[in-house]
Amino acid sequence: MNLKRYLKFGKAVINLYISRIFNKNKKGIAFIVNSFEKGGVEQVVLNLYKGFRSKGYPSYVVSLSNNIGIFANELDCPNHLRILNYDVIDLINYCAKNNIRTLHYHYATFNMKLMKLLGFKIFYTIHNTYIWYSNEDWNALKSCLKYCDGIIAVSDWTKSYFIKKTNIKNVTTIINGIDIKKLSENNVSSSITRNSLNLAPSDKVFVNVASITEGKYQMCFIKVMEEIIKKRNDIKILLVGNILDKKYYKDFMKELNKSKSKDFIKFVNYIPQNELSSFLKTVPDAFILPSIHEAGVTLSTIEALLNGLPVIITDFDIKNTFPVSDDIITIPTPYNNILELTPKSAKKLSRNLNPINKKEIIEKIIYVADNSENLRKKVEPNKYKIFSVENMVEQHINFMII
Amino acid sequence: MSKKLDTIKKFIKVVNIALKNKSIIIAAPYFNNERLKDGYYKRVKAVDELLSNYKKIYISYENYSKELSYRYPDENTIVVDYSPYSKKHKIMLAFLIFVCGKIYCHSVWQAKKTFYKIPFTKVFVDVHGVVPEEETLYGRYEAAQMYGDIEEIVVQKSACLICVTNKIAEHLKNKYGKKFKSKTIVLTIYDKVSNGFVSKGQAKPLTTDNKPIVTYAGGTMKWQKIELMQDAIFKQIDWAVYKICVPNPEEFWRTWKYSKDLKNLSVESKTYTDLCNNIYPISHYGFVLRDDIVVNNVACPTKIAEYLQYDIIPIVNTPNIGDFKDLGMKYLKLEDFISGNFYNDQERKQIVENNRLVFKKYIDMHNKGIEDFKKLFA
Repeated sequence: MNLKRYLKFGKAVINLYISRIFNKNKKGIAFIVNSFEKGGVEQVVLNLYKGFRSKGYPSYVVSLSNNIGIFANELDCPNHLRILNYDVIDLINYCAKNNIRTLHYHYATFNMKLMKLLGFKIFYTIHNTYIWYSNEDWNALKSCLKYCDGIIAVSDWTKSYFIKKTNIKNVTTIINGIDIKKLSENNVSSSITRNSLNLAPSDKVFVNVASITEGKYQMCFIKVMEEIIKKRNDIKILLVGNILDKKYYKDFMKELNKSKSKDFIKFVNYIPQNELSSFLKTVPDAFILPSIHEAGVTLSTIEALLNGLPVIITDFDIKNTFPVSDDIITIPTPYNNILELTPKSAKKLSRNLNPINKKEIIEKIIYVADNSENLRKKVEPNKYKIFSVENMVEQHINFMII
Repeated sequence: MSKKLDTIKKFIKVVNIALKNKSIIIAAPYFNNERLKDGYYKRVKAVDELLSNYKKIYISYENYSKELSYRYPDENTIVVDYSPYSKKHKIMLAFLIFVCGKIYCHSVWQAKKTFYKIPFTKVFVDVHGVVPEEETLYGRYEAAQMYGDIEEIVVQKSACLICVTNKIAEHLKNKYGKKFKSKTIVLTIYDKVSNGFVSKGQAKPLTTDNKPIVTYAGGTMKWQKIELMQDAIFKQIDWAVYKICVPNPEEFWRTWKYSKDLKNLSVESKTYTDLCNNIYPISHYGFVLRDDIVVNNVACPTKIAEYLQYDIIPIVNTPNIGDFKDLGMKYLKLEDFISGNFYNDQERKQIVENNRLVFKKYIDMHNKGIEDFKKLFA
């Protein structure tokens, strides 16, 4: 920092303390992210922003970079978003102006120590199992998190992984919520039907709602279906999701086109968000998501349950994460120890046509196919309303005590 | 050396004019005939005419060079072109602003934080629209932030905000709360000179085959919801005769999904005079479709005022455009149009009479705005 910057910094700090004395407005909270484009973390932050605001807490979104997308249009006001371009002086000034006293970091750890020293309350949310982190990355994260007033994990699975990696035990789990109100409002009849997909009424249809990407492991369906169709031809898999990883999609299609299962795995073209609920209610018999790694419970899994579908998902500590799990059929992870998973091994695994859990995936699919009607009757969507955004926000407010 | 002297002389000439006369700086590009098709420049010209008792010095960075350059469009107007990258130009302009003591900024786009630091200078800002919200709408988020920062200073430190609608003033007051300290006046947009039409109050006949005439006069930008209008037209293609007037008919047909062979639909480019003389006087309904978002809620589309003036009932998907709903405007909802819930003759007559009163209130509001403006700059 040159002299001019030092002077600006000094001025900002003085301004911050003066504003705290004279600012009579309600104390606010800022959610700090690396970027604010379209993505899972950004959706959670947007939900928190809206939820806190609806409860009367002034809340703001601070993006470290200028990668901003359509979510910015959903904020109540343009000045509720601050694009920092990594300028800590701007952050201090913005907090002073808006009487922000709490900073809630998501993935980012920008100047956490400094902000703690300046008297902010600091919280950090762990959104995933950070398998891509090196030891140096973990050490850097640990040294920042010393300054946190609270650490939140989005699932017990994530919490457990984090504790094993850092030995920081004081972590609270708050599961991400889903906008259930919006979901129930999005009830336009789906233009996509079994008929339009050439599915017979007697077909047992499993839907995979996920981006086509390595972590979601759509590749495993190919050999799984090859085994299943040796004995029966009434089971079909529908893949609904955007192509996030073009290379993975290309590799997937290459394998699929060589396989006998290609007529049993269908891609569904784009489904408008407001038709998804109707689609889930009328087309598939069950939901399936054999991911390699997840943060815990995906929003698409909860959506499926809320629309009355039984789900087959990888067991990311489901019994602890899901308070109610009768409708959830789990499969083991395609590896023995998450702590040994690295980005390289996960990438290799994502193209493995014969995972170690292939047998279990086949068994569970057949089980659900043979019992789909009963299983569907048993699903009580109302049970999953605890995964609402409102609930998530309430838990955050109670935890943070703004 | 002589070039430098020449530059100094030109600048001193302008400073002398400012010193010897009641003068005002206007931060806006200067208008010309071509530009006057755009609503922004119509506003610039309208304000220019209201400041006829001032020597007006426009400052603009549209065409800049190494030295300040000057144009004299008429005896009361100087246009100074400056470079926004030149510190020297900024210092010279700051001095000029100081000498005038008043600066009028056309929209937050033209306002600068530094204007408020010039001593003994009153800054007036004409609020055409909600700039940070518009920039956000178009995905220009960093620009939205920059103009948001400026807007926050504008509402705190301006001598007066001249707003095109009450809704804009309300919006800014709600947005900034206690920080909002500026005085406001509302000066609506109404071009009296080019169009002095007064309704004679007579009912407009339907076409020979008993159909009403539905018009649209405007651009084909996405925010004008052309495709929504096209779908509505097609759904009710047999109910009315449609006269669509756009600058470029090709643009309209590019998004038209249906057969073009429709005798009830004409799409043409018309001059404003032609519109006023031949289309508006015979039209019964007119489309004005907008998304129900703040950018449109606070706006003042001249089209609605024109429709009311010509006894044309607006067809809207949201009536929340500007002050018209608060003034009591009645309209036909797009959903009713699409489902065939039209007004009968009696209802149409009542609505037209109601809207004549609304137009009168609008003109009264406009005239009051002019009075307030004149007092401000007396």
